[in-house]
Amino acid sequence: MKAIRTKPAKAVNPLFSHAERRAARIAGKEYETSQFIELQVGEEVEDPHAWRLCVIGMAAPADDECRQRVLKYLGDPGRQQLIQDLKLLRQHAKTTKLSKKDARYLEIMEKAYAVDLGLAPSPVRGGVVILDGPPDETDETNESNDQ
Amino acid sequence: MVAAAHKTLATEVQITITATLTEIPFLDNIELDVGENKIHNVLGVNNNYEKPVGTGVRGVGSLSADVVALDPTDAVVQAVMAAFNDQTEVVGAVKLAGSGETLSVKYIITKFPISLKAASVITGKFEAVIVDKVDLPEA
Repeated sequence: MKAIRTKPAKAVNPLFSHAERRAARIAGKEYETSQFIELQVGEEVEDPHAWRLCVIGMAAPADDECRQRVLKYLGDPGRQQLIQDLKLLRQHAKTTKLSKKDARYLEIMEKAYAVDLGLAPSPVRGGVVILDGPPDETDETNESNDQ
Repeated sequence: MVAAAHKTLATEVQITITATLTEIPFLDNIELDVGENKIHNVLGVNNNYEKPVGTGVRGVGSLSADVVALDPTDAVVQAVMAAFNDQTEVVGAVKLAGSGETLSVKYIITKFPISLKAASVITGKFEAVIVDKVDLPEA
């Protein structure tokens, strides 16, 4: 399964060691191995879990397998139900003062599902998720979000 | 219809997904304890007070947080749950508030209790032990 990075990211450098850095510091030496590796936009990622990066907006599918898995995730009935529940809760919040806990819940979920709730522009329209997928399918997806 | 990038809390716990550090969403009240420095209490013949002396040994550190609103359908949460189920040693990091200083941390998720008391909101806890000795950042 392949994806292409659309945002810069970091990974832990497997060569870095807290123990070696500590030893170097005690010995008064420089420890030049950095803790993290910078990951560049445009880099191709091949991994069975590459789709996860796509659904959180950090990468775009680069093959059909990844694209299908992303669409399967986005269309998951449980997820769709959650989005519907959030929409209902948002409607409810307009007329009723939510408890502090529910308000916090809604705040967090609105940020996590901003695109689905129409609060943020969809990266799908910008071709982030579906690079060369059928345009009609993309449009339908976005229209359903706007409802 | 893509979930937006998760909101950024001041402090983040991160997990590696596909060789990429990714924030674990929905966490609040994050606590990082890099472990207790173990000491010996030494009492000399002419002393009337036990003198604590560092042993060079650090106790096991831990990482904990409240899960404010657990979304079991979230792709990252699912990866966290899989790491818990498999008792995987997670290669992750903790991004500290303010400075943005990030510490690489290997951890094993030990507890992930879920509370279903509220009808509409699933909350929980996240608890992990730190596998390797981690130093606090120095200037």
